[in-house]
Amino acid sequence: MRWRCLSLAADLDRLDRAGATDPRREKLLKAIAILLDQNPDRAQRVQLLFSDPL
Amino acid sequence: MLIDPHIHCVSRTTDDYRFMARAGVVAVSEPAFWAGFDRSSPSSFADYFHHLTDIEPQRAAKYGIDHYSWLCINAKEAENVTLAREVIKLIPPLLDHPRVLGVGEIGLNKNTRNEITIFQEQVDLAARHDQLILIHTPHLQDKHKGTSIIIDILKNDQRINPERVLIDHCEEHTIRLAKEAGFWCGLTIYPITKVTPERGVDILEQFGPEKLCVNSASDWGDSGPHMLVDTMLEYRRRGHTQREAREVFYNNPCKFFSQSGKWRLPPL
Repeated sequence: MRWRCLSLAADLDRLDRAGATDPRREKLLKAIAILLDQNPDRAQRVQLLFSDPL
Repeated sequence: MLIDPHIHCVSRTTDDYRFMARAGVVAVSEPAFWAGFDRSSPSSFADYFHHLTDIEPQRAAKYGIDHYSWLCINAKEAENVTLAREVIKLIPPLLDHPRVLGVGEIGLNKNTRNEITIFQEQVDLAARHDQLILIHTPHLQDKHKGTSIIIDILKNDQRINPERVLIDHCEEHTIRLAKEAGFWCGLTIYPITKVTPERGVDILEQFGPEKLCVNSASDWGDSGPHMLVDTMLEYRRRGHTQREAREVFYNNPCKFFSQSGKWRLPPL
């Protein structure tokens, strides 16, 4: 998991350097918040966050 | 011994066949799919179906691999309803072919009205000819909604027995929908998109191995038959026995496919 955490950190640094204002970034930050909470089924909840509404 | 229940061999090299043979893959099933471009006429599909049913089994046999196929028009090209209906007309005479397991991979791509229309017509085709069905579910943000639409359509058709349908490309947020409705489920393991070997084994452990098949769905994109093997190795690495691995990676596809009456390999 260490390398995936570092990879994600580098991805975010790269976006910062590019000065990106992509609206998808907000959703990505919401997904990261899910990773950090203490509730189960994080993968399923991140999947649903990135899914079209029914 | 392993079975890759979903792989697009026409897009793969002889090196891939050699790899599969060395890794213990003894049989594969190949659904009809999108070739990476929209084909221009029904005759292109007639040639493709000949390739799937007659040519590719010969190529696979050179590596000791038993090759079966599924026929349909895929969801992406189903957007052209006129073409799709012409292609569907080609299928019934081929359903008796000894290497055709059923109708597939049918489903949705962008969940459009046209895709839904052709999906329903191919479900009807399968029902009228008493065929097994292999379902393609959409990728990325379309998957959850598309899987829900597909399951609603199948459940509303009284002729469809869920035991004879496999809903493929399930992920963390869709597998419960398919399992609770009684369908077989497929996990597709990819190197960058879809499910990784680790996530695939997570799903196997959380939802159980019953009525669940693991595949590589290798095609012309970034994919490969090694993903099936990597998933089996991850499953074994976590302490699951050889017997348990055999159930998932060999017996489960045998059990589903044998309902066709054409699949020759018995469960071990």
